[in-house]
Amino acid sequence: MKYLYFPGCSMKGTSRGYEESVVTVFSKLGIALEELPDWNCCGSTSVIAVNKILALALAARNLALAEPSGLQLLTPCPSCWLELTKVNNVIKEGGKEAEKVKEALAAGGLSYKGTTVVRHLVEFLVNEVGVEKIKQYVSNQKYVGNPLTGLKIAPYYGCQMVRPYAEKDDAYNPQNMEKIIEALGAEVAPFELKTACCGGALMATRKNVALDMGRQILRSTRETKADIVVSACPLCQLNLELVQFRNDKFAGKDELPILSITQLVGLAMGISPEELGLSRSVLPGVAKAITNMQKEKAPAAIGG
Amino acid sequence: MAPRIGVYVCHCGSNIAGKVDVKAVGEMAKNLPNVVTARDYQFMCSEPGQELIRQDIREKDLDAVVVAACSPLMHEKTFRGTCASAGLNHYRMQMANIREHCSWVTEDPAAATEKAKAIVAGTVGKVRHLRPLAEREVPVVQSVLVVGGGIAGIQAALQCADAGYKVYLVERKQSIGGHMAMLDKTFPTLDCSACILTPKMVAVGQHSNIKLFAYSEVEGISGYAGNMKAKIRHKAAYVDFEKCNGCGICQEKCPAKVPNEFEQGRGQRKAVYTLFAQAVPNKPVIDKAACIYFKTGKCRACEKFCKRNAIDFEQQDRVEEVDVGAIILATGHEVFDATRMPQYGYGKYPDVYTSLEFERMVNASGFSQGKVLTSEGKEPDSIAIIHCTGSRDQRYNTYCSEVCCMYSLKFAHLLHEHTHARIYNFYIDMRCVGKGYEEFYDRLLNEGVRFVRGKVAGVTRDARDVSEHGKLVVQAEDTLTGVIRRVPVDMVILANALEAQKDAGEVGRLFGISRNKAGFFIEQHPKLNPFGTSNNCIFIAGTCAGPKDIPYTVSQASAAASGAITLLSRGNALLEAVGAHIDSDLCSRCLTCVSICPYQAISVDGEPQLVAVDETLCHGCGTCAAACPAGAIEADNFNDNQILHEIEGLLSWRKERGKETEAELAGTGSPTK
Repeated sequence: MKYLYFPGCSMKGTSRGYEESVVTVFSKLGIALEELPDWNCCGSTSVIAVNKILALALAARNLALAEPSGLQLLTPCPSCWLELTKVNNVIKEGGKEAEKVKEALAAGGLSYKGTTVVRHLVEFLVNEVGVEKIKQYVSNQKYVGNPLTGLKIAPYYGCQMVRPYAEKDDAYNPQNMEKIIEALGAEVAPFELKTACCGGALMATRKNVALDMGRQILRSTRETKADIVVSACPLCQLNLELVQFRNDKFAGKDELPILSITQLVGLAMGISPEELGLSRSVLPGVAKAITNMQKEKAPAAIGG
Repeated sequence: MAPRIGVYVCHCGSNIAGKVDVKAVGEMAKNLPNVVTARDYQFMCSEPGQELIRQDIREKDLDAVVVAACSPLMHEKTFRGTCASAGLNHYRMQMANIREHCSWVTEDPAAATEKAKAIVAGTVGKVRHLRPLAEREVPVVQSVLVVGGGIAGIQAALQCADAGYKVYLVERKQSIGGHMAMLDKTFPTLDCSACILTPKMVAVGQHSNIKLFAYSEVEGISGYAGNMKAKIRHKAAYVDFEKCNGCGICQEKCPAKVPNEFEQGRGQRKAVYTLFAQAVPNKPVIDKAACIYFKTGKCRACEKFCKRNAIDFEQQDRVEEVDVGAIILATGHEVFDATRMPQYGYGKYPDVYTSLEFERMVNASGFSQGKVLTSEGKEPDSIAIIHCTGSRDQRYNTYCSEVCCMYSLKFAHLLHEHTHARIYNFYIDMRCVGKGYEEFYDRLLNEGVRFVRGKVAGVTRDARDVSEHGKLVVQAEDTLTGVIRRVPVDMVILANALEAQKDAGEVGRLFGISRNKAGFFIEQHPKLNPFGTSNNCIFIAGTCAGPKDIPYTVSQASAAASGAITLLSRGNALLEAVGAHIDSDLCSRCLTCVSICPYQAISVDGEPQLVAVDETLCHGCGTCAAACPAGAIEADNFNDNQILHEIEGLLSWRKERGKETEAELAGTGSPTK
């Protein structure tokens, strides 16, 4: 089974590490991804506040490009997933906005019937790959035991993965990342703010507000004694790293590694930190910090 | 001889005439075959309007009438009476619904007029072939079945019994009392709920006209108008109620402890147990799932200590049939399951309580003997009450549960009495509609209870500063000041919505009563018959018909009782004249009809086998007629010939208008194909 891959802008910039881990892990899982040719911005930037139809049309163009293949479109970015899902709903409902979007597509020689299925990576891992298969890949590696044994992982969803569209998980108490973490053999560190906003783009416009939001989330994860925070959103990952990178005196003393969900899956599968793009983290020495954790908690598992 | 039909188009003020060109509908009707006269009038149901019809029946020698007006549910009875009083068999009168089915639901006046014409033409087509029928009166069985033993069922049962009728009161739990028995106080008077309820419960237990079937369920209803058979299953209690005197020694000696559902699972009970101290009947039952003997084959402590040999481990369910003339459904409600709203932390944080849990906490005989303490046994410094938990919310129940504002105020008052805590009410709107209710709200404002106008977004243990440490933080947008509030409290009490019982669907099917979108039983008329149902012999009362408070429940129960008493005291019920008839020459004895008749009205008898319909049991629903492969069954006034003429009439209106109508009416919901 082949899937179309929609990276979105972050994957080619601030989150290249996340993308490298997606590519590595999926090839190990034996799932073929083909990058959507000629894709463009999903429309989730500030453009929606300025011109909604433009934002919707940007998203719809990607869906229109994907439609003839009949393949499902997979994206690791919740913001892209949200925008693409939103326009799918607009097209399904019909009405004025849908007409305008179709008009815009037609001007570019495209048409969209509304059949492209958009999947977010986390929900895809749970429902398509399945936790059982993930478990197999974790246990079929060269190591004895499990590289994540004894590590406490805080699943951080952020605000867009289950809101407003919560068809595949609970909006207030999502469980998909918990399922993955458990399948990887690590321990879940349940924390209160798992669906709180990381501050988003406010980091660029209202830094103090965003910093405070990031601090709250980090504080909440530290309270549960988490070793690692795992996210599935490029912006969340970046913001939580940036709060710490500034040597922010409110962010807590020890740096807390912020990994993407596929980086975590990759580690559990025994893939090296380099192949998972960990060296691209904003915080220096994340790969080393994790290796040290593993040595301390699961020495047998990493052959140490 | 050709039939002579009169058509009467009603304006219904502007209800119909505001949308439909009634004159044009009348003119169209005049040209239909066999129509002798067609008139329109402002209010057909008014005395002058009815007189028009009567006069025409007499003077123009009409033998069929079409009244194009509202739904037959509204006025069929009226116009049947009109025709009958002028000497016309009222089964030759048919209403054409051009209000609910047309003027009220069609946007475009032109389309509404065309649709009204179609409806009238169809009805004329049918009425031309309708046959006169005769109704029969049957005596009504002089007893009432009341289903559900909460305050609604108790009130209805007592009233029917006081009127001198035999009442069977069926309650599925081992004691009557319902939710009201669980409440601590009642708003706004602060009467002790049990104190005002138990005298009524005792009265039920002692009433010579009431047969109380506790721990029993109705599992079948058969029969016909005013003559119904109720099949009642007495569940095995493993206690012989005849021998047991309710001394309580078995409960004392039983070693098995399980969560007590009456205390909302917060307290414990034994495997052999009564619901609560004032239970009626005050007889225990053995919970098979909790009983050590049933699970392991060892114990029987209760049996050992019972002086009256009332314990009977061999007891089986027993089914009894009773004959009843009227039924009152008072099956009650259940409360919203707060785990469906994880954002409020119920089930996750021990100090988040449901409304019923708090009732039991604050009650002197409840699980904490009336002490309001946190899960750690501390006195709370601050408490939040969250209104509308599961009500007025697009994601859960869209309706208002009607009682929560008031019981939340009651909670606030009781907390004010029992603790020194700061009390916060988070509300969307305060709804204090009722006698003395607003005054109660004023009283609470003066007691220093804090009110925050804002729907709570969530309850979290995530502390942002020292003041929130170790507390539950209630987050809400205060819509009066426009700020986001974070209020740290020690205890949260949810005002759970009232919902239809989970098995209300099955109960509805059993008794043939429809339910609304939220699952509550539908009344015969929301304004003018809020206690009757579509079945003249079945009445509804209490929260099974929608959320309501105790006074409204008692009123409705009394009204339902009066409906039943009226039916019984009249002594006769009319049997629907419409029925099914089998042509035995065409019948091939395949017995399809026997198996699908919902009223078990068709039986096979004799040699050679003869399939026959029992006219008293038949409701004329037509299921058998539709299913009969040989076409041997005909339903009165719904036979193929009549229906086909109705369809032909419905479609004939298009011929007059030509082809353009189809394009014009596309998308109006009118029949164009």
